[in-house]
Parts: sequence; structure tokens; C-alpha cells
Amino acid sequence: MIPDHTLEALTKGIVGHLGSASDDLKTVHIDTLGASLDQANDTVTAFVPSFLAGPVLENLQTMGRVSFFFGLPSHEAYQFKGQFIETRELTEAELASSEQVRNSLQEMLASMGIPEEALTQAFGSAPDLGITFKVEKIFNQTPGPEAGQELPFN
Amino acid sequence: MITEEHLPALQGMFPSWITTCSAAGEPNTTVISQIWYVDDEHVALSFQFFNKTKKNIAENPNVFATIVNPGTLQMYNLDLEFDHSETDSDLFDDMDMKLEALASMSGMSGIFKLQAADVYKVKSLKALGT
Repeated sequence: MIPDHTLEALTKGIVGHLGSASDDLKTVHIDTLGASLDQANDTVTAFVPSFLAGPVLENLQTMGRVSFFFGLPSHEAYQFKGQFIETRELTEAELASSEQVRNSLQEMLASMGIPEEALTQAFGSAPDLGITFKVEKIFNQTPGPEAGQELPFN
Repeated sequence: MITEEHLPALQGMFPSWITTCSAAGEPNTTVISQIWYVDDEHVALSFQFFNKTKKNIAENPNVFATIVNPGTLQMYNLDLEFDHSETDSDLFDDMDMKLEALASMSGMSGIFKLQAADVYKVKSLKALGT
């Protein structure tokens, strides 16, 4: 079961990036804005804008391996690794959850003095696609000497 | 390849993120404090304790990176290829000094010790969404 202490960062973390690799060992990643999980089945669905997802999905459909980095403003961060399962539309609850993450990130950036125009341009498109994968390994990614350490899982 | 337009995104105001993969094709995605401008065809990444990243690079030199202009939030994706490491150079000293300053400000002096400046060739650079 996915450990409880990772769940706040997973579902409320404002930083998320989902990576993949091609069969010729070239990598790409995409920003995520929120995620949901099925703890009983150890699956996670990361929320992404579909219009930017093409290269990542191409890799996932051929190779299937996923790396998913996510974290909180406190710098607490984790990386889940696993196997791609499917893409799907987001549920109403997931869209609302993603909207909260997006708002939190925009508020944080606005408080740093980022111009409204830049925020509008960067966050004009909300995630509309879920990328679901089976979590197989979990790593600590909080900056420091323990970053990269595998966490007990299952 | 790298022009003045991209330089604000290489100042370390916002973190950057990179994805590498092993020889077996297992990806690894992580966030780093800064990607450093070296010249118009090269950037550098600090090697501190990115053990998995470092291991992957030894097996496969390809890196995908994203940098962000802090003024406009424009993101740029870079395809990089590992070129060489430096441990005794002006680039290394500059990176070491800045990282130590950042570490001391966050009360982690001595922890974020620079072990090498890893220099990468920029194979492509594209603004996200173009």
C-alpha cells in the first residue's frame, strides 16, 4: 500500500513532473497538476493537459515505464516509479482537485511578484487527461543527503 | 542555440527539472536548483548527490531538461548530451561559491557540497507549446 506520509505531497503537491523514456533511451517529461490514487491497488493517476502529452504518451505506449516526481513548497518530495496502465478522462472530483492545486501554485507565484499576464498564459489550460500507472517503487526526493533513498513499500 | 532570450531561465531563480534513464530504459525524474549557462552550446549541472542521475548518465548520456523564465513563466525544453565533468576550473569555482551561499542561507552549509560541474552539449532547445 502506498505509504500515508506521501499522500499530502501526492494529492496537494504543487510540483509534479512525469517522465518517460523511448526505446532509443531518449527521455521526455510533462508537468502535472495534481494526482489521485487507488491505494488498494497501488495505482496513481497524474493530471496533465492532453495537448502537451503526446511525446510522453508515445513513450509510455512503447516502453511503459513511468517516473513521477512530486513535492510540496516545503521541499518535501518523492518519486514514484512504475508501469503505465492507461490514460483516461478526469472525473469531476479530479478536475476540482487539480483546480485547487493550480490555484495554490498561482497564488504562490503571484505572491513572488510574477505578473498576472504570465500567470494567465502559463496556467491558461487546465489538465484534462489522467495518466494512470502502477506504483512499484518509492524514493525520497527531499533535498539532502537522503535524497534518492528507496522507501519501504509493500 | 542558447540566446539572450534564454538566459533568465538559467539564473536559478526557479528550479529546473531533468529526466534521465538507465541503459535498461528506466526513467528518473528530479528537480535541481539550477542549470548553468556555459556558452551558447553548453550548459552545466551540479553534481552533488544525484546518485541515480549520475549513474544513469554513466550508462546513457541523454538528458531531457526544462527551464523556466521567472519573469514570463515561459518554459523551455532542452535535449542534452553529457560531455565532460570539471572539478578544477572557473566554472566549478563559480558553481561551488553560489551553491555554498545558497546552502548557508538555508542552514545547510557543508551538506550541498559540489563534487563536479557536469557539462552537457545542448542538442535542441524549444519553447514549450511552440
